[in-house]
Amino acid sequence: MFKRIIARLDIKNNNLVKGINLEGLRNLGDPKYFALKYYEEGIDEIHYQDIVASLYDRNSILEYISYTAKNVFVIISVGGGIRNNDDIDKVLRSGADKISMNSAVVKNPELIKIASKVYGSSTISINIETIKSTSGYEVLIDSGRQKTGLNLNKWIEKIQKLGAGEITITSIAHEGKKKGFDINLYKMVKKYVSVPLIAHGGAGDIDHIVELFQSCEVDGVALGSILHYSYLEKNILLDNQGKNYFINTEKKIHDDKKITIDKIKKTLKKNGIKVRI
Amino acid sequence: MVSKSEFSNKKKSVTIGIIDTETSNLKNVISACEKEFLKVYLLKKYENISNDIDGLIFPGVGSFNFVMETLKKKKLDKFILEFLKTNKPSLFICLGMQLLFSYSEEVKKSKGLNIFPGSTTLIQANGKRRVPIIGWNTINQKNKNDIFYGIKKTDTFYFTHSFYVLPKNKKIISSESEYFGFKYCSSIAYKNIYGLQFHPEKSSSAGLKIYENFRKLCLA
Repeated sequence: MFKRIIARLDIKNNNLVKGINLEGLRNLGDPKYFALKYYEEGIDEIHYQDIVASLYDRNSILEYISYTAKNVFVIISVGGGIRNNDDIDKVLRSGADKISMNSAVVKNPELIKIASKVYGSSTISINIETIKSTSGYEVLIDSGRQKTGLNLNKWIEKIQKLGAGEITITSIAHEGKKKGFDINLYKMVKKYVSVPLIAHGGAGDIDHIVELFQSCEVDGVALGSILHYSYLEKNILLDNQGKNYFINTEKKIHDDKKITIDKIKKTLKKNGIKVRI
Repeated sequence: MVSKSEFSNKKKSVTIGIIDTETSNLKNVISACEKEFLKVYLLKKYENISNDIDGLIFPGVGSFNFVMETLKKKKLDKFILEFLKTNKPSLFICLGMQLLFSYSEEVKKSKGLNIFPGSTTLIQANGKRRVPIIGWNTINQKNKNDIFYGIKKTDTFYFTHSFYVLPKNKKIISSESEYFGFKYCSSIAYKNIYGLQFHPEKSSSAGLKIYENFRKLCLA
């Protein structure tokens, strides 16, 4: 089995956005451009996350899914604002292969059972946002805005019993920081997880990804900043000089490192990690 | 997509019937077909068109029981059996392949199409072997097979499943895959019936090659 390298595209309205600790979002351009580019460059999976789905209508994301499904022949998973089987149906019918849920299943865990019965466990992926508190890791919802009081390990056990087919764990404290993954977190959850596990939050350099796979039993990794800033469109239209400065600085850092999907995979392979090239 | 009336004036074009049970990722199968110049006709219920289409694809996502019930309700089970009698090529993907067998242990012991004796059984999780299987893997081809023409040993395919098939007749196993020490049947072939546990429409260029091969089989 090959370790999966997943491109995670957070979408707000019509833009690919990227924040830090799930906050302070910056527009990076047309999500369709990035998805297609990542596919051509050899990505294993595309994840679209509609991060304001609960606030606005979701027709735009259905359009992106539909366009992407016509041109991209790898798995497309979609999350954000999915609350019931009707929502799931719409997203799958648009061309998505996998559904990712977080807030809705915390509010109504039975939804996992209902959905996995109809669509099969492997179609139902659960995203967990977590942050370390004094009593251990706690589960958050609504893009890290809302505390739930749920303990991470207990939540993992519960959703697996209900039929979750895959778990992505986002470390809020590491997300967007580009300083490496929360290695202790992924080591710790190992004994609770019996379905495929994806790590998300923290990749800033290829070494971080190597370290993750070498020290933790994760099946895949979801990458945001490290890819987006490397593959920015040349003439991205920006509305604000401050953002312009920030993004150009980020781009320069990435250009200097010349991070590409191919380079990430080749480096992983050189380090003994099985990846698809 | 073609309408029924277009069947008559087709020349070299290949038209594929696709079974639509309304739970699967049909759009992606259609995209892959269109990319490989296969015209698509969607079958939502029984229709007397076995002679008008050149091939059949049954893509499967969902649970065994639920999809089997839908097949029966729409008399699509009858259509599949009728089509297989024409000996034209057919491709059964993932759950589609599992439904070819006698029964499944998914949800409750439920009957399949029973084209091939055998069953569908849950993969046991064990340490690193997490279930469902989700991700990319290679296939170890057991015999020469037109659907795998040009597919190399190193080519990777996308799998997503919790169950695997146990054919009574081992000769129909056309490839095996290995998942953390667990070897299982990842595809079957018998005459012009092909079954794949993985999703070719989600397997990048290697997967599209399978659609290309399927088109050639339909033209033959």
